[in-house]
Amino acid sequence: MSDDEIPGLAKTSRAEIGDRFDAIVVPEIDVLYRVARSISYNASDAEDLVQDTLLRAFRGLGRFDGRYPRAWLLTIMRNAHSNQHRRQRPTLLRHDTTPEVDRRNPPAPSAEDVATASMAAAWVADALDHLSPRLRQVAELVDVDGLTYDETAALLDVPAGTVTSRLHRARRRMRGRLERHPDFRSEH
Amino acid sequence: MRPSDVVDMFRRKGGTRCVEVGRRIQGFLDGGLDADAAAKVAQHLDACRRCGLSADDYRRLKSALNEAAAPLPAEPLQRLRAFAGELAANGTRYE
Repeated sequence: MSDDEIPGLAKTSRAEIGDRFDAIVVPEIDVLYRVARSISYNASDAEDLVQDTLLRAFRGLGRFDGRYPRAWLLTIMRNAHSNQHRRQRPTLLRHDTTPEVDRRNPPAPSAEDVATASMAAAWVADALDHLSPRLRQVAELVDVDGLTYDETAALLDVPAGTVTSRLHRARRRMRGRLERHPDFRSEH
Repeated sequence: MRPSDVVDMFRRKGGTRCVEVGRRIQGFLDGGLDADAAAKVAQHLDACRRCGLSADDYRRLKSALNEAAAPLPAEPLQRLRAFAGELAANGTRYE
């Protein structure tokens, strides 16, 4: 085996793996970080989680068939997240009961942030806050982070039908709450 | 909801009942229905004011949630991209 071959992956050169990594994994870093922030306790944990996911993806790239890269990466992230929390604390995926990083209520927002935040955004944050953690997580992953149902299912390790039913329930509840705001329908 | 509203939900408008559309409206708005089912829902929404308003609410909600995504901080992303670059260039060190 030449120096350029990855151990255990005969005929796969280092350059080839590097190119695949650039083509398949690197374009997903923003999405991975956004999702990691949704499921981590803090920004530092989120960054560690993405780093671990990237490393695992690199190691597994030779065995990846190239289909649905985002779902593949989210599955890797799920496993990395489980390991991270097995070491630190109970996992929040699947059996979560506690909300994690609250991205819509960041600590100490600037006066400018407060002034420019629209009422609609505040109502939506309020509606999200009143969901159970399980419903809120799916609403955030699909409607805020932009994952598909299948990608969310891969991340949470639940059937796509479960994602659909949780998401629809979440939206129905949020709509019910937003209906109480008399200006919701005229705001947009 | 008044009793007459409940009765109304079981009437066909545009060929479909409100209760059926209520079950499919979110799939419709997410583009998850096949063409035939989507056409039926669209027809109903044109004919039924209450379901049309409901669809508008969900559209507003989805749009507001989409806008709720906070911009990602630049520094961690730069560090992650640098780490990815290092992996792509010299990844065997991490084997």
